Amino acid sequence: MKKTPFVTLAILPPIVALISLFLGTYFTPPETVLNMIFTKLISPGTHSPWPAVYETIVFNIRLPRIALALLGGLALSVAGASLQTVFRNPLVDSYILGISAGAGFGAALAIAVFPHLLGIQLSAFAFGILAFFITYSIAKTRGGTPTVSLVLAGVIVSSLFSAALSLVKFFTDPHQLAGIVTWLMGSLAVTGWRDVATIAPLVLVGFAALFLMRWRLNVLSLGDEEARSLGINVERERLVVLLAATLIVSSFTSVAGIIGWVGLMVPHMARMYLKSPDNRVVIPASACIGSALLLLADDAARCLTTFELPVGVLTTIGGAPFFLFLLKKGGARAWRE
Amino acid sequence: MERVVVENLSFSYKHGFELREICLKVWGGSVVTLLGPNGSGKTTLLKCINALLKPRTNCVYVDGKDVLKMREDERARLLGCVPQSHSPTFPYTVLDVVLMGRTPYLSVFQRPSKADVAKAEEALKLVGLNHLKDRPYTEISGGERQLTLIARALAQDPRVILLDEPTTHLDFRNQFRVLRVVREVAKKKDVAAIMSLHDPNLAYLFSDAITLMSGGRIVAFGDPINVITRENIKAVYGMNVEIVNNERGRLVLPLEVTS
Repeated sequence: MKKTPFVTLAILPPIVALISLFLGTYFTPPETVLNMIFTKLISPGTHSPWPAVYETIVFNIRLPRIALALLGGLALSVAGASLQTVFRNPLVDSYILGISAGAGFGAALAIAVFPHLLGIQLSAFAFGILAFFITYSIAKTRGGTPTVSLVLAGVIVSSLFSAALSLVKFFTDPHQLAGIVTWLMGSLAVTGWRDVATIAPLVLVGFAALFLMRWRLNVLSLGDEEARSLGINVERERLVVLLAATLIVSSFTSVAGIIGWVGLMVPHMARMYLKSPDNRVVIPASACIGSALLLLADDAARCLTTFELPVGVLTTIGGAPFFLFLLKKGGARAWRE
Repeated sequence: MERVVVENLSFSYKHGFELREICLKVWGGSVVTLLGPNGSGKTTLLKCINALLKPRTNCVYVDGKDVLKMREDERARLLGCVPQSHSPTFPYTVLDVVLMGRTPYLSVFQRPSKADVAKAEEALKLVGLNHLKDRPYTEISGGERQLTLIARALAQDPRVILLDEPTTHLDFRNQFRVLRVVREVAKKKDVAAIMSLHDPNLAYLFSDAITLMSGGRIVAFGDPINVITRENIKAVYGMNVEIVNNERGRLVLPLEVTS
């Protein structure tokens, strides 16, 4: 029963990726693109009869961007699914622990003080991670880290970093302010292979941990005491889950900015599609749906108009009504109080 | 040899309530009930035995082994725990819930195998719920949910099961259904069962021994017939009762119903 829906899901990202290679404001004839891909795959050394600009566009602009969208969709969705599970809360998304606010502040600070691309990314990544550690240490009491404290601490840390971000914006000149605003809206536009190569190992390591722990996630979703009496070291294993989620979200956010809704929405779509909350299937399904969805959103961002739209705004505009539609259709059954 | 030994267990909360010098012995295959008013320390004692709370000294032994010193997974292979029935956040299937009982036998990155599924199904059969295995746990009745949790504890292959008020929220019939299952599986699987109950009549019917608790201490321990007495009920609950005793059974009858 679980095989068929999975095959459908697994072929989704490659199909969308292939289609995305043809799309863009610069027209590239589809047959030439196909031809180029096959030539590259079969005999990479051959001299190419098509204009060099096609090759640059397809392999050095579109392909890395597609790879980043796939990685990012996977990161946000899998982190979202894991966090919703360990927090036992459907409204949690991948930014609950203050990562987005931290990363936003870090990026803004770098843009204001040291506007160099690598500096911005490093700063966003570092502050994202830092925000998580502040959240975790606030929530940590002698007896452990109750999830309620974690959520509250996440809210506090988020609002602190948001306030700090406002302060940075206030003192920044208008030109750099525009840069900050754009960053905060999230975009995959300035992607090159370097970005992909930097974050891919981090995202894949975090994903591997969550993927392998997907049965544990089920048990952790029962709550601290039950998980403990079922033989789980709750403190330690939940920390591993939180760290893995923080790692993949922070690394993606550091290169793409804040892209909302994906982490909240996709895990729900996976559960509704599979009609099961079982993370053994929800985690891989979220990875497939998330990567395909963010890639589609990014295609829309670069093709809908003659200029780039921020993909983070698109995911929100598209995500909210779609989510509402699913809930009205009775999808809330997949998650009841 | 005794299955469970609790030796001079003391525990105190920050706000003052404490368990003092609790001693308890439970044999394999027997059912021991903790009986006492609200706030007498039944749940606290169960949590101490299961190491969810930390007593002042290490004093809980299962088959002679100190369970408070163990890692979580080692402990979960000896002690199965049935929490008060609840409605979980996610609608896992009944089988998946029971399957979670196999977790102490799995490493962090492992998922349950076919053999684990077989164990879970066996546990479901034991409590008579195999026909519900594919139903969402959230859509079955309260009694069935309690039985599912008992099956989950049995899937842990434990030496002891702890049940915290297994009859709460259950209707008249289901209370008996659940307690009958507890007694049957304790005998059949040679498991020691320690449970807390509120109703002296149920405790009398389904226990091999009763521990009467009040204010964090054990007031009486022993055969149900010796523990459920007019004097003990008066002392612990402050109620005047009559024990109706005839050839068909024995019933605690409150005398102050209308006053």
